[in-house]
Amino acid sequence: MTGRELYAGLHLLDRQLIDRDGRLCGNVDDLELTSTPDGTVYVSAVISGPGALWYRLGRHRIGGWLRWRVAAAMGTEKPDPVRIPIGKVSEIASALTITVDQPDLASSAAERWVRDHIIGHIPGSRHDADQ
Amino acid sequence: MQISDVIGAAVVDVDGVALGEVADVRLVQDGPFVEGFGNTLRVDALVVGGGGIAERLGYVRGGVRGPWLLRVLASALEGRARIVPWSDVTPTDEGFTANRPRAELRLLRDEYGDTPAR
Repeated sequence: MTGRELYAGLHLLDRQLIDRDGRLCGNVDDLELTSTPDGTVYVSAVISGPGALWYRLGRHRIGGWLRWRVAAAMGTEKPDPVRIPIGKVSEIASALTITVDQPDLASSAAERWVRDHIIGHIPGSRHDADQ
Repeated sequence: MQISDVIGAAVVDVDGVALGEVADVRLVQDGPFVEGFGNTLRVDALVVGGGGIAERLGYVRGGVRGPWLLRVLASALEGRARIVPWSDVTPTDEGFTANRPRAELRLLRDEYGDTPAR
């Protein structure tokens, strides 16, 4: 057996995600598995964001709905912002470092929605906090 | 398929004897090459049964050491889990079937050895 050995539950699930600028951007909620024609099954993506944890906890219907709804609300051209392809993971240690910017991730979608639709409408909210 | 579809699934041996649920999945980084990551994490084996919460503490697999009393108890429970190679697993509607009898499946403690109590 060659290659580093990890356990999905012990070493990956629920670990912190850090974006390329060092910002905290969610947790590993699930892992996507893909099969090759020869039967090899491997981790092809990290799943993180609204709906993913519901799915993992067995609530597949609400998890799938939230995942679809967040993708629609983000208005992004990415087909599924909850999915982070494994090629975007640059390091696995006590946290996972990814080569993606935090604003492009579904895990920050709720925060962004509140900012744009609620906080942004409060008079005086459209300036920096230190001004 | 997602890893959450595997973890928690029921596993029986080739004779239909219940082995428990999948507690964890062992991954080995020798899977297909992906640009930006290297060799991907291949599903190598299922960790089945064992001691529930004790497996999440990592006393056997994670090399966690103290406190010694918790270490002794958790290691004993975690070590009872069985390793089922992915190549010996057949998915079913109820979970997974190991294509070997229970007695032929290695215990986790056999792979890592007993962690000596201090």
